[in-house]
Amino acid sequence: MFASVLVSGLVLGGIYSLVGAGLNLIFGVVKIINFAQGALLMFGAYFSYWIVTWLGIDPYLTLPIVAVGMALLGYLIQTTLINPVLKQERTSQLLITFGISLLIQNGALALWGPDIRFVQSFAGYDTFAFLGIRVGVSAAIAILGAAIIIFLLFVFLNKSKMGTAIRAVSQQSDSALLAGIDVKRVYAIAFAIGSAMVGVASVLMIPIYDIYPLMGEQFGVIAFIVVVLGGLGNVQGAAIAGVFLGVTQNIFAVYVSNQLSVAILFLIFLITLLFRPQGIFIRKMRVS
Amino acid sequence: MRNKKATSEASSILTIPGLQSAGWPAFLGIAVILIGILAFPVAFDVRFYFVQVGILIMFYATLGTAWGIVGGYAGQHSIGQAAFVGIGAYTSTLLYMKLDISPWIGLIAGMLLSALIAAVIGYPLFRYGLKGDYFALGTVALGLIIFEITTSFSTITGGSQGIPLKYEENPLNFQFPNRTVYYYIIFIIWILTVFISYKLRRSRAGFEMLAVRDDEIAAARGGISVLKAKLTAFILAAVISAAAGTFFAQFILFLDPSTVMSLGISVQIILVAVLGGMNSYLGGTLGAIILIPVSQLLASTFTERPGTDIALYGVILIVLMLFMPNGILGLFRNSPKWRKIVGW
Amino acid sequence: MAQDCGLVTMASSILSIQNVKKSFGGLDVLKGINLEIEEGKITGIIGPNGAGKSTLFDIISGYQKANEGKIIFEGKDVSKLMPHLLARQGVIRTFQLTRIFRNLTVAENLLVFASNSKNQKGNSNERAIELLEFVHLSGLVNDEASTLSYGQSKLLEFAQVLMHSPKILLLDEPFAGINPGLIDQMMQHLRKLQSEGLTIVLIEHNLPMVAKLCDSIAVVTNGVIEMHGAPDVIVNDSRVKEVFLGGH
Ligand SMILES: Nc1ncnc2c1ncn2[C@@H]1O[C@H](COP(=O)(O)OP(=O)(O)OP(=O)(O)O)[C@@H](O)[C@H]1O
Ligand SMILES: [Mg+2]
Repeated sequence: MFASVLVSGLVLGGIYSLVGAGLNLIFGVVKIINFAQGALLMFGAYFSYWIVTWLGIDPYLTLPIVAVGMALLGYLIQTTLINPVLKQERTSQLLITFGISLLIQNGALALWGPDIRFVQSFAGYDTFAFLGIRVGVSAAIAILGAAIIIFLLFVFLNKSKMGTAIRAVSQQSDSALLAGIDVKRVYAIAFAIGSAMVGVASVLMIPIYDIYPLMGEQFGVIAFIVVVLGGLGNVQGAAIAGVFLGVTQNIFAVYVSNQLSVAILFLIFLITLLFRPQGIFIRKMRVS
Repeated sequence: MRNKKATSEASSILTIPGLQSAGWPAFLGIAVILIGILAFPVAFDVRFYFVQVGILIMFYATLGTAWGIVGGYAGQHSIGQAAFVGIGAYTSTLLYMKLDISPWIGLIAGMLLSALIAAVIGYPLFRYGLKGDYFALGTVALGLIIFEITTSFSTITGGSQGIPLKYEENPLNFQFPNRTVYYYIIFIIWILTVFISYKLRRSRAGFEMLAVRDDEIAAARGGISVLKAKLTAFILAAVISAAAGTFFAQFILFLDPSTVMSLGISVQIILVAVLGGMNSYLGGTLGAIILIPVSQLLASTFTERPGTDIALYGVILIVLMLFMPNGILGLFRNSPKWRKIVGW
Repeated sequence: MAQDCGLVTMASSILSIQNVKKSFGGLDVLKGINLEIEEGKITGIIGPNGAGKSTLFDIISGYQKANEGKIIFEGKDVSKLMPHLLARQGVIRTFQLTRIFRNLTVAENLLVFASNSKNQKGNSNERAIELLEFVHLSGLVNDEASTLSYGQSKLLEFAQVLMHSPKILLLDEPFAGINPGLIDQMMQHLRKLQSEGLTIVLIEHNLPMVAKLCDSIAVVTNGVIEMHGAPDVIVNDSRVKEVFLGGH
């Protein structure tokens, strides 16, 4: 019993990690809160769903198309909507991502209706035995896939030239500008990667989770918790925090209260915001 | 107090923003408009539907104006403002339904509870210097927690099924045989809110909020307590929102979490304030006058396609932020005279 | 380590900085600053870029906490006070990078500073008019502060802090970016304020200007007060010449 709770917690955690790490990248580099992260997850899920429906291929095979498509979408959002308001007050940027979220989420509702949809992967409900535990094949794919993508992101950020530029910009946008880095392009690429991670997450989750217009809402908000717990701009931290939250939520749901399992995460979030902001947010000046 | 005395001198260059800059035509205009609003439900033989739209406009005008205090004056963008509407609505309703306490008392209780929660949440958030974005995140979390809790404790709150309010015609129970009375009640709440916002803009406390919004560090150098200014704004907005919440529950006689405290309501509140111009005491009102009829129209046009109206809201929000981030009244900021009148 | 150069006595000190240390990460910026600021005097602080002068102001005015050491103002330990409380006690500063309220009008910028000080005197409106005339901003009272030039912003900030009736004024490079004609007037104004009993501390890179204005000069290098003394002594010191005349 506990083992299977743990496994489904890990699946949830893997999704949280991907969405959260993507958000963290955007947050760390562009310095905006992307309120549309959850809506993008939902959009990726529908994206995959429609390809599956039209082409009749296995959902896992849509992964490259969805990832690239979502990256393009992210790139577009940053270049057309966010870059023009970089100089304006932070509210403008925040409310723009908020508007994007409303548009995508309710646009999906208007276009595709509130019906719950689902896809079948080759794995179906197959399970296999692992260390004496029965593990769903799609659950294993989700967990492994999330781990691989996080690892790849980590390698990309630390080993590639673009990764170095991204880290430079996230640390200090001004001096990066001096060093001849095109900051706006780096922003757009960071947003693209953050969105692509969400795309991957959506493909990995739809063989297990239902697809409906509001499906992303919870994930989008929990991604903020991942960012706060994991530390700003810290990809590994986000990955670990995501897993922690997924497992915690699942255990709480099964053994304490299913209804309050989401509320408990928000509580963790608020407590973190309230009592451990020092480790996360650097305070330069004392004012209040 | 000191600067009030100083600035009331006629030749003073330090005139406080306000309607006096517009002279008597403004006062005359205001009087005419107010009389018009008051006479609207009775003087013309209007369908109750239009009275209802009027009620909704004033309801959102109240919330938008209140949001302008925390979001516009103090620059702290509370994304979970509907939580306080919900707290007000549920406090008075539960007291009424479970303990038979008059909603008028519930109104006060809801306002007090909102103030308390705003203080308890706001203090540490502001105290640790969580500014801007983090405050916004914190308020999102607050909104969602309160939403989830209300939905989960269904034995008390009725959960997502909601609770119908019992109907006993009795003014002492905030219930009136003539539904037009609600129009006048929300009128009073709205006009008080605008008045508070106007007075605040002209007061020392208001200046402190504006200063904090512009530059916390410079504000502190001016002897301003940044924490106090933000907290005052946050609590004030919460209290007003709670009062509006109680009103709304009594008006529709039914309460469920998504009617009063969904994220959508929070968005609507922000949109109203942003459209009108959140820095002005008139912003919330102007925003509501434009947006509420439009939203009624959108909702009734797209009944068979739910979601379309909110999606369009998203578009409006994006376009506004791209091209008119200061809202309609923000267009007046470059004229010294008008700037004073709208209290930018 | 600090040498007294020609200052006979430390008459009455209004502000006393005692063994203040501050480091950022591994970087020791202030390594034990000791400095007495005399009441009613103009003290200049000089030192190379990055010496920690602005950091010292941040610590005095409460914006940063020292790792060690104390700040005593009028006999009381104020090391732990928040900036706004220090401001209310009369410790008012300017910032090297000007800070004004950009979305408020020029007039409102002054109104914000019109009270909140325990030290308020006179009619704040008259004072505002006077100050605005002095900094040549009377014609722009109703303009949004964001429309001001850098020099004008700096002057507005100068007017703001004077609005507050400080007891001690900390000016971080007040003359940088101001046109020379106005600098002379500002200096005269500072002297006038001094004659009314105000204590002034200012950071300035222009050595002749500091020498002309100040009653004493402190030199910050390597995180300590290298020297503190009368202007003529400091200006003629070979080490100071080396650092400053080399750099300028
Ligand atoms: N918040 C901070 N975090 C890290 N390092 C800092 C911080 N503030 C200042 N420093 C460092 O401390 C040193 C001193 O800075 P400070 O601004 O006090 O120098 P300064 O004497 O005012 O120089 P200048 O004449 O150029 O204004 C510099 O090396 C600076 O990089
Ligand atoms: Mg400096």
